[in-house]
Amino acid sequence: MESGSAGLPLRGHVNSPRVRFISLSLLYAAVLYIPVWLLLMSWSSRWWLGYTPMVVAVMLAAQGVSWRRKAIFASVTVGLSIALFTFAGVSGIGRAASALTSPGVVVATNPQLVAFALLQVFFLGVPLAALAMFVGRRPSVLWTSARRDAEASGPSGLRRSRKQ
Amino acid sequence: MAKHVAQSAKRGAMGDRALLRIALSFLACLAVLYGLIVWLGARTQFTSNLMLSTATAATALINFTGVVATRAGTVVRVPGRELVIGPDCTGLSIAVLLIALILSYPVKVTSRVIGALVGVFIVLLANLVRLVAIAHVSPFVPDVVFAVAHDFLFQVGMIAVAIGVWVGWLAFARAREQS
Repeated sequence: MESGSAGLPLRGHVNSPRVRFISLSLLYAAVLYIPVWLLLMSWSSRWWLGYTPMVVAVMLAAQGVSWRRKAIFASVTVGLSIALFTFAGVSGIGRAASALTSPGVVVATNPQLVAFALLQVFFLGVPLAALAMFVGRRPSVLWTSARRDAEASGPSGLRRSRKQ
Repeated sequence: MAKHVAQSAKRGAMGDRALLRIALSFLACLAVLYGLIVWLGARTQFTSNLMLSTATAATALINFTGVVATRAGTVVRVPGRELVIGPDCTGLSIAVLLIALILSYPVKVTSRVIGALVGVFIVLLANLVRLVAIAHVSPFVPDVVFAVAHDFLFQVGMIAVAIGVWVGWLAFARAREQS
């Protein structure tokens, strides 16, 4: 009875762009993380997937951003992550960093320390840097629809929105 | 033209170059902070003390929530399982990420200090909640389910917490700048 199906206040809340953004983020994250983790279940380095799928999920769920911008940022984020992962594997950075965290290491060498910090920056920092650029200084871009922005700026803004 | 104006409004007063500067300063800040932490961990007792503190706090909280837990060093024993608190279980790397993100944004210093302090507190608290949840889940589920919960659900949960705290802080800092 309180389902809000007939224009009750609950309905407005459930359909709000903020709730929509959060729900879509979780949905996209599940869609992105689960298959990748299942595919890599036997691979111990799957931890290094880190933030990339979640960041891409947040980008795709953003309400106030065009799909073109979403696609560009998501592609660049995924591309950079894959490139850095490959680079870490080929260059031996991954091996050096793993040696630091393996049991029995008492005193780490400087190359190991540098390698570990670099890996953290690659796989946690780079996706978040891309998200920081995507969001800018206006986090409400994530949950405020472009149409609502146009309506808030008056009739001319709404007309502009319709044209677009 | 109208499209350009709308896009500029969407990005606020910042252009792409300013955003790139934020991203690069974030990465630089992160590299320095991670380097510092790893160096501290290798040369001092910093990481081991943090692991010990995390294990102690987690044991107390697990006991408080009704599951019997004992601690031996950084190992927390709960019915049917041992939880080994390693460097990644302290929440430190996520806290460092947040600090780097917050420091790299050109807003008032007080906003950054508030954000860093509150953000680190929330992340460490969320990490303790994660450990308590693991302790509650572990006696009742088989190893495979436990592995999925520990490796997947809780890791993604912590990432979501970090991003959520950062977005929340950004909204708070922006409101402070405008007021």
